[in-house]
Amino acid sequence: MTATSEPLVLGIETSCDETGVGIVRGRTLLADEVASSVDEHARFGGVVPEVASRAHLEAIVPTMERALRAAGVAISDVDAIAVTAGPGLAGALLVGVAAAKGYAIAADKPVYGVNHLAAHVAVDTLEHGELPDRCIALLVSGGHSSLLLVDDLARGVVPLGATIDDAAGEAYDKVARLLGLPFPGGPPIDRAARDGDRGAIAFPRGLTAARDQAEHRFDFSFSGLKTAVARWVEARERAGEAVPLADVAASFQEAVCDVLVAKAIDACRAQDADTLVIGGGVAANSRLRALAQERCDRHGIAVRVPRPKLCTDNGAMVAALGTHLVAAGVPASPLDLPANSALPITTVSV
Amino acid sequence: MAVTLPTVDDTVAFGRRLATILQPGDLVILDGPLGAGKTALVRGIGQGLAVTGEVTSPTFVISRIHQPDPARGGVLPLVHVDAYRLGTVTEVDDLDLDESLADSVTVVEWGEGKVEQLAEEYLVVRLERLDDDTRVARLLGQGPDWPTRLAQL
Amino acid sequence: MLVLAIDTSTPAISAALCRVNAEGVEPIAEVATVDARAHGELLAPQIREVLGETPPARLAAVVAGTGPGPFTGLRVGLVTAVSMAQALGRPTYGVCSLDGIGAQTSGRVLVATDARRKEIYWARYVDGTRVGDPAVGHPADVAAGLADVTRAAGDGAFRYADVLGLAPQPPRYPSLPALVELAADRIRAGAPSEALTPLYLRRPDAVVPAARKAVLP
Repeated sequence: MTATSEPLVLGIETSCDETGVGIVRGRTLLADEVASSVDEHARFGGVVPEVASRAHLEAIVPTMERALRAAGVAISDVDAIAVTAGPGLAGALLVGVAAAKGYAIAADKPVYGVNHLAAHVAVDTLEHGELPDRCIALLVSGGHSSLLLVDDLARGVVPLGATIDDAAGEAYDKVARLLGLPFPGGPPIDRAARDGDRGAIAFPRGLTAARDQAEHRFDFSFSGLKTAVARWVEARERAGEAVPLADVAASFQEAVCDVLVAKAIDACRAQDADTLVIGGGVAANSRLRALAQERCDRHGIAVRVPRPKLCTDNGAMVAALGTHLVAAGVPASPLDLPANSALPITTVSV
Repeated sequence: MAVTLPTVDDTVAFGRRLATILQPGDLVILDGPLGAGKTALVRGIGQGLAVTGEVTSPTFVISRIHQPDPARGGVLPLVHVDAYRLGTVTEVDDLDLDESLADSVTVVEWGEGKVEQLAEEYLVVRLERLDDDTRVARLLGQGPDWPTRLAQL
Repeated sequence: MLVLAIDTSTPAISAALCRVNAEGVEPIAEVATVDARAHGELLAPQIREVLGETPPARLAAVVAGTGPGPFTGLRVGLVTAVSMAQALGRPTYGVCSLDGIGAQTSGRVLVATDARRKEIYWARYVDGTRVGDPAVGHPADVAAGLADVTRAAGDGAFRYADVLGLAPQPPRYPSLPALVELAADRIRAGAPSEALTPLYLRRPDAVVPAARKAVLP
């Protein structure tokens, strides 16, 4: 048994599209393998032939094999196995949880069922060290847009706000499709936007009006923005006018990033936090990173964003959360731990 | 049956009304372009069924299950599906919606042409976005029971 | 040789520890719980239970029923089998789950399990051996095509007895020792490990009608 201050943990992630296996020792990343089907997305024009559960079953063993080899460890070496128990797609989660239990029984190791969103926060420790006593986490991805108050990741996370309709990443994907850009939409819109004028079109910033402050101060809404872009583009096309792709991309992206950063900073100030952690797939976006850095600098808030590969769904983030829980002495999950597609953020480990 | 919905709040309110005639085993297929208000309608259905959890767009996760909140009188789970990212019947089958169908209300956004095989009877709600920003919802029941049930709305 | 067997293709979540030697297969411990929705929760504790004091490292192989069956439950059993085997460095062998029922019948029998949507997964057996491949279909259609069969086994046989017009008989669910028996030759020979792919059968109504005539109220 290695010292519990530097636990060696295997992390498994299967909450949605990605089958991820990561291995972490303390805060050192030893392996991060994903069985990405993103290439298939692009090839099939946004429609994947094998989403979720079926693909996870086929991918788990080879992905685990690659991770073990990359880390140079055997399953018998680890202190614990962590797995995303939720939230996510029920059938997909079930495969990862069952796999984790299988490894756990065979190797006689404890298993920790953990929260996917909490893992997105924990992954930053692999790059920037221990989290401060208090921080605000902005998690933005295809499936989530949330603002969280994090005092002690092992004990619990307080949700401050979330999207009331579409996630930011989803808005990127749908607007990309509207503009004839490939899937996933984040990177192509980010690229196209660089040549565009972000002030060209004043797209709506959802839930920023005075009347929204009482009930939705830290919530997001991107559905109206998506519809506004659709209407703007449709009107141009109907009038037979060319659609200025770069300007639309830049203006759309600005509307998204403006709101994300404004509310994140508002949350930091309201909660007396001087650190903002950004995570989730959209954290890879260059405008979001730049705008966050620029505005946080002005407000004396430190920004922590991991490198892009760690921001998307992966097993490393699950392992990172796992080591944190083991080191904090949090008890392991029972063997009948359920996959919970609606696991609340207030539950970090099951 | 056609219903005019001037604002998003009207769409949500209509969803609550629709929930009053929904039963276990029901399959509701929602169609309409981007921004037509499909998710808003499901939000209303969720409120009407008194389920837990925020009803937001499940495009990415594909399917989300909301359990009933007994404290608010909820009895039926709501299975909220978005078939936007699914292209084939095989992918739909892969979701194994059959497992929850009989005991829940299953609502599928972008479901036309993809999920009809799941149940013998189902309700289609087509949402349209007009130029003046109002929405119109057209309800078409497939199966002998639906005309009577819709008449109760 | 000690072998772990798993089947989650039906509502019976099953795990068994068996001994395989030259003479045959002997069950040591078996647990089955009938609960169509709880595969993800109940299988792992049941496996621990049948293993008892036996260290998993003593297992020579893992055998799993590969279906057909409702995907959600079926995948739980299969992924558990492959993950355990990977951790132990042991082979996995797959067996059609219906064979675990059919092997315990004699004469000409239809084996049927529930496929939901009022359909059944089925196969024909003659004196315990399957004839043909498993399929999925409506009980009425299946019965129409089986002139020489008068009895049916499996959960589906009981559920759809009237429609099938066949006398239902046990067993209702797959027997794990029977599954191990069907893999015994491979186990004894130390045959190469098999990828455990579920038997995904295409439903007869898999092609969705383009535009059904809607009834306007």
